[in-house]
Amino acid sequence: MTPTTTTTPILASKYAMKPTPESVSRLGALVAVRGGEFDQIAKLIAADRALTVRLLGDDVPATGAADEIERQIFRLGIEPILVLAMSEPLVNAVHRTFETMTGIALEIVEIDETTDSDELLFTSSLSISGRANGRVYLRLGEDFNRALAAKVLGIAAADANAADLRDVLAELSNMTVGSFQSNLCDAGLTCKLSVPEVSSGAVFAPPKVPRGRHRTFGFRHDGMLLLVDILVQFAG
Amino acid sequence: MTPKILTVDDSRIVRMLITRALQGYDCLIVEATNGEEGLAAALLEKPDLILLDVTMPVMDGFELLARLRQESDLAKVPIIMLTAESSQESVARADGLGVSGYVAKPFKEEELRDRINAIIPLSAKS
Repeated sequence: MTPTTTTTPILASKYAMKPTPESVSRLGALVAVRGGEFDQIAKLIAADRALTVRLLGDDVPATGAADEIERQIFRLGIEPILVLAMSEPLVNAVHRTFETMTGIALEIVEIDETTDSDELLFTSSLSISGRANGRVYLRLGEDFNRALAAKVLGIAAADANAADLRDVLAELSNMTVGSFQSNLCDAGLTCKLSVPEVSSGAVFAPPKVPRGRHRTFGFRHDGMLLLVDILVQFAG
Repeated sequence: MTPKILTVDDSRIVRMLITRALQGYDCLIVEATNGEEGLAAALLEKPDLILLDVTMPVMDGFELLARLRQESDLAKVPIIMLTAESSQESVARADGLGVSGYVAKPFKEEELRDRINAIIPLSAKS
């Protein structure tokens, strides 16, 4: 059951919860016109400078951007645009979870093919299923995993055992992806979340999914790297 | 009388954080790791408050919530949802089942303690 728009702010206020972020409302608007005209979608994106820059690059002029965006949608399809619009809610969920639970303020970093991720051997993954299907992966090295376990459990990093590393990473993943998945639901992409699975020791390779869209986000703290991957496929 | 709080969450990390949030306060914490265990514990222990996760194996939090509301002894027990599922739909569903509070994960221990304290006043241990 989807709550009406009139009851939602009342419930948010009743339970002292934060209002729906602007980035989620924008994603919802894009989802709502997904089957509509490309020009409507282009206008929605052009109204958001950050999203426009992510799609077209820094040097795009504010005027005329909608036409260029429309050409891009025609070329790429709407699905990469929706994944792009998911970026901000996902990045915000990562920042909020790590800051609230560990006190660590992560710095976002550019990721490209030269980023050395071979040492990131701890992977936590959760699946989402529904109108948006896919997986979210958190990847990090043992040093960072140990530092996070120490912060959450209030112990020395050296004292964290294998179960501590696994359970803390699973819970941080659950909170991050749960928060993100709730945003997807609020944007009209109703989907369910699985229980997190943590693995270690294998170099990550995203599974091949027909028409799947994959993006990677990088975060750094104290020289340690966290990569967050989203692999998504849209249902009807 | 010492208040009894039942926590139903499959994550030992969250259960540990709850215990840490309440250390120093006079209360008894009972733990369950899924909805089925939670129902059995609630029937046995008759808690004064339940902290309830949603996504759990065996029986999820919403199913447990619905079952608790059908039990005459437990129908009025205050329940605070403590979950990463914070969509408007989930909040509306929990509200329809008469929860007393909804705390979205990630959460601060002080925030959780304040929400509990607003429902069952906690006394500092002497």
